[in-house]
Amino acid sequence: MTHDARPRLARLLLRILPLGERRADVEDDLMELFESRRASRGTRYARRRYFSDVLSLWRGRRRSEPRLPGQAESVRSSRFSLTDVFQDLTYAARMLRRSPAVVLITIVGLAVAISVGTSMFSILNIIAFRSTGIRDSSALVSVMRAYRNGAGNAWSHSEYLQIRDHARAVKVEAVLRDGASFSTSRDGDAGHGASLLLVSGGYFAMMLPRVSQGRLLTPADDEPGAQPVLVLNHAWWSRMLAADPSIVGRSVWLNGTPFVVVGVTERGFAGTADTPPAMWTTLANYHVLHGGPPLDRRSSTSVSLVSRLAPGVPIAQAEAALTSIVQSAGFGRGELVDPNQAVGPGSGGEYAPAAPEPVTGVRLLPFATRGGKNAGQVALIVVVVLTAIGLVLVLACANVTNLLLASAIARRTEIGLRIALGARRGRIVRQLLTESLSLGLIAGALGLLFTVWLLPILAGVVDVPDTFDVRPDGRAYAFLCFISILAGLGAGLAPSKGALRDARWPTSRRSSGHSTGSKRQRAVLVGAQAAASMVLLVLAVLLARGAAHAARLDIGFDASGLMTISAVFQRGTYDGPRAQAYWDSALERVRALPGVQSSALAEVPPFSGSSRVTVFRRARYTINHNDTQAGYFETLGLRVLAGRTYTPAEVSARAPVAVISEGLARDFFPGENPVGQPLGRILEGSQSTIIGVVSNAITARLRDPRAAAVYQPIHDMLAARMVVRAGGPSEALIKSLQGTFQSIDPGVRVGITKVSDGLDRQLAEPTALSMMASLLAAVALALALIGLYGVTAFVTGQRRLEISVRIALGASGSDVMRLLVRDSLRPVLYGLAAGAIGAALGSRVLTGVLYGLSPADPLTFAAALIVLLAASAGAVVLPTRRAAAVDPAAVLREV
Amino acid sequence: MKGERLGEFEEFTLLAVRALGDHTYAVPVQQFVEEATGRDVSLGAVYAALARLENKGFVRSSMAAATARRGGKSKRLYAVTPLGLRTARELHRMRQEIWTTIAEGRQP
Repeated sequence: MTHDARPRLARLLLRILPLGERRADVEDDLMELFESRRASRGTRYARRRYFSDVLSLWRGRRRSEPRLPGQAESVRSSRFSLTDVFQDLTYAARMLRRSPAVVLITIVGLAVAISVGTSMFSILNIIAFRSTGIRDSSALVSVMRAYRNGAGNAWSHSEYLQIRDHARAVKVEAVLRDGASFSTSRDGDAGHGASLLLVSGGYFAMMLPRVSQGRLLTPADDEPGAQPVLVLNHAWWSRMLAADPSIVGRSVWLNGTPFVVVGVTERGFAGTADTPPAMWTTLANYHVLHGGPPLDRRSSTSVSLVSRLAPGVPIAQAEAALTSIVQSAGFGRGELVDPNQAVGPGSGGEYAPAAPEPVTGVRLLPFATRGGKNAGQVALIVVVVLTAIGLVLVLACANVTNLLLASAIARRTEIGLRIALGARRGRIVRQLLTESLSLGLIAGALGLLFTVWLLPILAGVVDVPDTFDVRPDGRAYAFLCFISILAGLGAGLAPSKGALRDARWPTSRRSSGHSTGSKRQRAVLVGAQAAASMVLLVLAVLLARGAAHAARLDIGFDASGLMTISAVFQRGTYDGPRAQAYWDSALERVRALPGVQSSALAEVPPFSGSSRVTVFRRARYTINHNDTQAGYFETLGLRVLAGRTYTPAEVSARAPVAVISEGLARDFFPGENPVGQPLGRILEGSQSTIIGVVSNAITARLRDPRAAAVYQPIHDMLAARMVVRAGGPSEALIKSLQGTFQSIDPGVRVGITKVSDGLDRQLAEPTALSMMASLLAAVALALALIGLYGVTAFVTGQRRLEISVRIALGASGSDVMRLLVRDSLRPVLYGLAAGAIGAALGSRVLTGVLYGLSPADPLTFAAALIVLLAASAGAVVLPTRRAAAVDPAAVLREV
Repeated sequence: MKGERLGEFEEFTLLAVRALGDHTYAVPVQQFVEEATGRDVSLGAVYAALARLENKGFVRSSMAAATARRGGKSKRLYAVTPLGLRTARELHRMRQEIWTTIAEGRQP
């Protein structure tokens, strides 16, 4: 057999041409023509014509109602088939294998971006979008007591019982307003602390969650004398008890009492609390945990009420029914709760008779829209985090786009050939999209691995409570898929458009890749990357500076050396007077200890939770309310700015006096002397008189620089805690304090904490936020630099010929460098400018978490600008230097 | 669709089939057209034109019995249909009329 003279590529193309039954005929025709041309005009001519004949067959398929003579129409009827997709995929795999370095960088970059994005989203999902796990929560309502101007959610236990017993059509359940943490160990001092929420027996029936183990609480568990039982939170059970399947029926010790675990909620159930508790028990166990008598019709312990609207019952009807009960029972006219004090702290003490505020009725607030105090804050974090995720993704996409653009230009020949061979444009776009989409999906899979690893770390960093489930849930997976696809598609669209436009065939081997379109596209991408990095960097620097600022924030008192002592009084053995005696004795002994400078009782020591009262004064205004002893101001070190503080005699007499903070005085009494004014001007209904103004102290949240506070004489000794100021090292003192309290009554469990620990916990929040932002900014910066480096290397590589000509014509190396660097940095500068403007506009939303730092902080912007300029100059100069060092003779010889 | 007009390349192809004495196949047609027009004609274009002509009903094809020349394989042969012939003639007559008009210098 002689050597086949026909062109090999043409033979190959002919072989893959779908000719069907006509194949033999067509091949014969081609062969006959080839032989006859070879005989008459030579092999070279015959080969050329053979090639163009084969191509014409391909083209013929595309153009002229693509049928070969005698070919059935149906052969080409399906435009899109699984075979095509498979073909695209195998081809994509082959293309990706061809440039492993580019692909690796792309995939890792995208994966990092995707996993950072998903982790951020998951945290957000846990904190902000967390579902309550309540079935049909739209019918669930908060039962609010309405006053003349406002509404509150605090009811006394006796009010709850009255409402429950009289409400026929509407079912009402109660939740103890204050969850508390208890040691779960038998001896009461080691072991995990676990938060516990007390609910009425019908609570779970109203929430309708499914159960994953055992059963839920029932009204029978809420009967007086019932065995103490618990239901565990699924997340806590998984995390702290390793999802022990034999837990049901076993006992958990709380406050020295065994509680039998009867069940575990289904995964994701959080209930009505802002922070889900580790476990739930019934209100019937209140006295077991908190001391005092069992709750009954006389108890004024504060609870909040929830209700579920029966199907078809309008909210107004339910409201009217409850209002009539409340009005006929005459709530607020007896010896009931002062609403302003009803927001009790700690373990939910008894409320003394106070100035009654008439309850005008009941308002029902849909639970879903309850949003409440955190809504604004959460919305802000959502906006910031989602913006940051978006920016990182834009960067990653821009990077991939850049790489694909570069390779698309390199592939113009291939694409041109495919078009010449009859590929429809749609088919090529599909091919390119398949390639970038598979990049996105591979990166997504890798990103998932990163996320699984990163998420617990991030959750630890931002201090997510252990009753939250931090594993990525369905929503997080959906988000990951979505952004992977988005990144893939987003990255692939622009290059495929450019590749199609630039495709030519036959194309010059030395095409410059410098069509204005793709050049502009690259410039826009580089600019976008620079802008996004600028925004993220400004964000990160602002948050970092905000965190530093928070650490230096003047909280108004010296937290070091300050300690808080809380006591849990055992079951029913203590009442008000006995607690008073206990504390009196404790104060006396503590003051005698060496190193103790002063001590006083207060309901809410600094950074130990807050007792906030919200008043409506034009806008929502939050006041920290604290009941204290006379020595509290001295112990904290607050200065008296006007009037005086109350005396020990006034405290014992529970005199109707109040001391307010400087900030509150300024906001409510501008230009007036607040001393002597009625407190009623601030807290509606209060009969107290303001007797003094003290300096501001931030004791609840660092974010709230207003530090509005009302101090009143302490009356609830069961809810009191002691604040101790010590001069010396507190470690030694803690030991002697423990001994001292032990000696007073070993039955009372005492917890000693340093106030500075609470402050540190508060500081952890801005630190975590700035860490997250820094992580994002670092990823963004790395992505932007990789992208910039890649583009510059590519463009300067494409301009090798031009550079060589310039050098050959006498340009110096530094001339060339200057030219190239200027060209490469121009889009970066535009991008940085745009980013700075964007950051200046966007950083305003951060005001709340900057602890008083201005969001337009010039130092931040300057720092970000300098870092980015220096980094991009570096990324540009490196490849440029290599390009400028070409040997012009060598390059020009290639031409 | 039947009874359509003829494109230029189709006309050449149709006439080539006729000139080659009907019952011809693609290769002679290609060679004929290339020679007659003096320009490169690809086999694909000839196939496409034949397919269109057949579609319009101007030529018909049939599978011929094996011939010795092609190693005993069968091939598709083409012949001009009466409709094709009429259409080509009509085209030719119209051209002739126009040329006559031009030669006589008459205004249409």
